Order: sequence, then structure tokens, then C-alpha cells
Amino acid sequence: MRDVLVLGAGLHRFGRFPDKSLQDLGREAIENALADSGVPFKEIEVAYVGRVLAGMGAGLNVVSEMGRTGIPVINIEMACASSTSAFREAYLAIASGIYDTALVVGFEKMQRGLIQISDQKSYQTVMGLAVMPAAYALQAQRYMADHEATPEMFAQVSVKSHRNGAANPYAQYQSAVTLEEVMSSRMIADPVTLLQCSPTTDGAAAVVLCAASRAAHYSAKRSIRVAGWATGSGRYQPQGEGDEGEADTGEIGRLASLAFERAGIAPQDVDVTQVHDAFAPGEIFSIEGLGLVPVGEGARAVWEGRTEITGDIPVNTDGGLLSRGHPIGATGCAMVTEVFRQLTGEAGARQVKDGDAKVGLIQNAGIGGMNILVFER
Amino acid sequence: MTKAEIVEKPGAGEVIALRAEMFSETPEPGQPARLLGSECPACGERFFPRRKYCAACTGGGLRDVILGPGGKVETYTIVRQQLPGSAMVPPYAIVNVRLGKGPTVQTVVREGYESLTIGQAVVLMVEPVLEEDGRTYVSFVARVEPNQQAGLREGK
Repeated sequence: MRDVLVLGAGLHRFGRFPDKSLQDLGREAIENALADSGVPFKEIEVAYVGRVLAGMGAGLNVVSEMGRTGIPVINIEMACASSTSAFREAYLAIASGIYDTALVVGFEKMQRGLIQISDQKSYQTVMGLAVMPAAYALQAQRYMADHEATPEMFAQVSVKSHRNGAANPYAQYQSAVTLEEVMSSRMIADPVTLLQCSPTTDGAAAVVLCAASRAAHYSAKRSIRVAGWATGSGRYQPQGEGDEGEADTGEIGRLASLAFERAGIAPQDVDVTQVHDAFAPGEIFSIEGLGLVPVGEGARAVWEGRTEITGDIPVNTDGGLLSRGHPIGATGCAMVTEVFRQLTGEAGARQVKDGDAKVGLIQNAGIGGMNILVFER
Repeated sequence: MTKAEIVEKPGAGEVIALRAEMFSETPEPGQPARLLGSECPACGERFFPRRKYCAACTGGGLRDVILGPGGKVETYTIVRQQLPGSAMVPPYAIVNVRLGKGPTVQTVVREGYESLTIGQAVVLMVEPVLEEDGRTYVSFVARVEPNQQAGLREGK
């Protein structure tokens, strides 16, 4: 397998843009990524598109805004992990030698309110079970029973995310919130309050990948290398394994081990991490599953500021899903974009480790699977 | 599966299971719920609802097993926001209930959820969950065992 580099990344700001089309959002992200990479669109050999709610053929509708060069445009859907799935396909296509250049795009336009994860007439909906924040709340309740953790520690994730979002001009929410504001916002599913829920969002993100052997052909002055990856679909965990009902970090742990092994690194080598905080407790479960902190110590790590930009394990430096926003098809590519900025020292006010970050880690989860990606400068 | 697919010609006043295939016998409102699940003959893993192949070992030939009505709360949360299209009116609790050696099923607690605790015993009961077009749809919900509930309250 050949080395594959990310040469550039770009976003359309995340937020609510009722007057803009998917094409408007996607085109701007692609323009920004291409300009950042130095690769002209006519040199792109294949495009992989992460999207969920748009209709048939949405990928081509957006990508063809840049021209109709006849390249394959592949639509990928894995719910909230769609565009890291698209990224993985692009990586494998280049690593295997089939293509030298690829464009990855993720985009979404979403409605306000609770995301509908099940058909309106389904059993899960009629019975009131298909409540996405409740899935995280159930784990959070069990976590508090099993470990030394309080509702304030989950809320602190959101305080930190909003502070980071305030330093990100592409974030949906760019204002800080206090712990008191998070705790006193409307309760959605105990202990998850409204300000601990990621919003629905319009937005787009794009990245340009290139074979390392071809990169000198373009004008990009910096790049990051895809060092490791793992994808899974949620392996069944038998009832007898582990403690009954304990907050499940098994699948993240399994995939993270595989990705670290492929990258030849250990969790303590990671300088910056983007995790799937669709709801605030997610950050705590993810950093434990990834092995960045021992199981049961994630809540305290957040509370003590270890996941802040200035901490020893900075997490969701761009505001994460909670504050940057969560246009489900675009989220994974936005994670890659932030890791690109951090590892190239271009993250400005959000920069970690004084611009000397070498290893970046991404965990992007969706209904249907999870992707782990490891990058090195 | 939608509820419209379960009943061929529903008439007004009928009592209908929201999902009939979940029960080992015709569910009667107010009675303990007997659920129909599957057990893998190879590895012993149990599932609800029924399935053809074992999710754990991929083996086939799974046999029917009757589950419930008693179980223990693994975790719970109290839902405070209305889910569009749902018959459940907040606040109510979502509970994960472990049935014996497994599996864990998810359902709701509509009364007495204030006193829920992890590890608490609950019983699955057949109850009306939806009234629509003059018909009553039933499913299984969890009930806090009355003596347990009282005991906990006295304890506090």
C-alpha cells in the first residue's frame, strides 16, 4: 500500500442557511479545499461523497458544480460517520494504486428539532424509545453509578466545546457558555440538558487526498499523512462479557487498537483528538474507549481541564459536534479539516502544543458503524 | 414493521398488539408480559426480539424461548421532550431491563419512574400504549414492583 497525504481542506461555515442550496454549501467547501491543496479540479480522479438526508445522486449534483469531467462520484452513507467513510474509501483507492488524487466531500441541510432516527410509524417511535439523546443519557446514568462522576462533569464538556467554538470562525455557535447555563438549560433526558445536545446544522466540508509519490506535482507546501485507520459496524457483545450493563467502550477500544497498530503508535503519542460528541457524555466515553485515559477516569479528566486546548489531551479543539455543529454528512470531513489545521500549525487561537502537534486522532460514530483515523505530520 | 402491517382488518373497539410477534401468547392488558425471544443452541446467547441467526456466533437453528416478566434495571433515563410521532407523553422513563441471564430489553416506565434506581427489580406488563381510530394498541411496559417502590420510599 502506498503512502497517502491530505494536501488541503476546506469548509463552508456550519450554521443555518435556509437561503442556500446544497450545491452552494458543497461548492464553497470544495473551492476552499482545492485552493488549499493546490490541486485543480480537472486533476481530481475520483470523488467520494458523505451525505445522508439528500436525495438520489446528491453527490454528483454538488461535485458537478465544479465541472463535468466524468470522474466517478461515489455516494456514501453511514449516518453521522458518512464522510469519514467516504474518506476511508478515497484513502484505500489511492493507497492501492488505482488513483493518484481524490476529493472527499461531506454536506447536509437539516431541519430543526430532535433528529428523527426511526420512521414516524415504527415501534421504536410509537413507544418513545427512538430518542437520540436518551441513548447517551442511559450510558451516562450507568457511568455515574459505576464511577466517581457528577452531572456537572458531563456539562463541563459543553462549556469547553463552546469556548473552543468561540475561537472557530466556521463554528455554528461562537459564544462561550458557563457551567451554570449548561446545567440550567432545559432537561432533555437526565442528565443531558439542551446545551449538552449537538444542534442540527447546515454545512459542508471537503478534503483533497493525493498519493505521496505524486504530491510534489502540486504546489501544496504542507501535508499530513494518513497513518492508520479502522472501521467497524458494532460487533455484538455477548451478555456474559464484562460487567452487566457497564458503559460500553468495547467497540471503540477494539477499533482504536487496530488503528494504532496500523499506525505503529500508542495512545500516549496522540497530540490532538476529535471525537464524536453528539451529546456531551460522548466525549467522556470516547476518550476512555480510545485509551487516552483509563476507563472510569474520563469525567475527571474533563473536569480537571485535561481535554482543553491547553490540556495534555486536547479534544474537539474546533468546538466539536456540540458547538461547531453537526451536519451529519459533513461532520467527519470537518474533523479531518481540524486535524489538518492542528498538525500543520494553522489553527490560530485554537492551536495545541505550541504548533508542534505531530499526531492527530479522529473517532467518528454513526448508526451503522464507526471510523477511527490516525494522521501524522 | 409498522402497526398497519400487523392487523389485516382492524375494527373499532378492538384490542391489538402493537407488534404481535413480540409475545408468546395473545397479550392481555393488565397481565404480566411473556415475550417471545430466541436462544442459540450452540453458544446459549439469548435475543429479543426473535432472530434467525445468532448475532454472537452466527450459528443457525435458534429456538424459541419465553422471556420475562421479571427483570432488573440496568440503566434508565427520564425523557422530558416529546418525540414527534410517539404515543408516550413526557415525562416518562426509558429503561434497559435485564431479563435473567439475558437478553436486555428496552421499554418505558410511565408511573413511579421518580423512584427508579439501577439494579431495581421491575416486572414487564401488557398495557395499552396507543389509542387510534377507535382501536387500542397494547405493548409491554415495565412496572416498578409495588412493594419495592414502597420499600425504597420508606428507606429514604
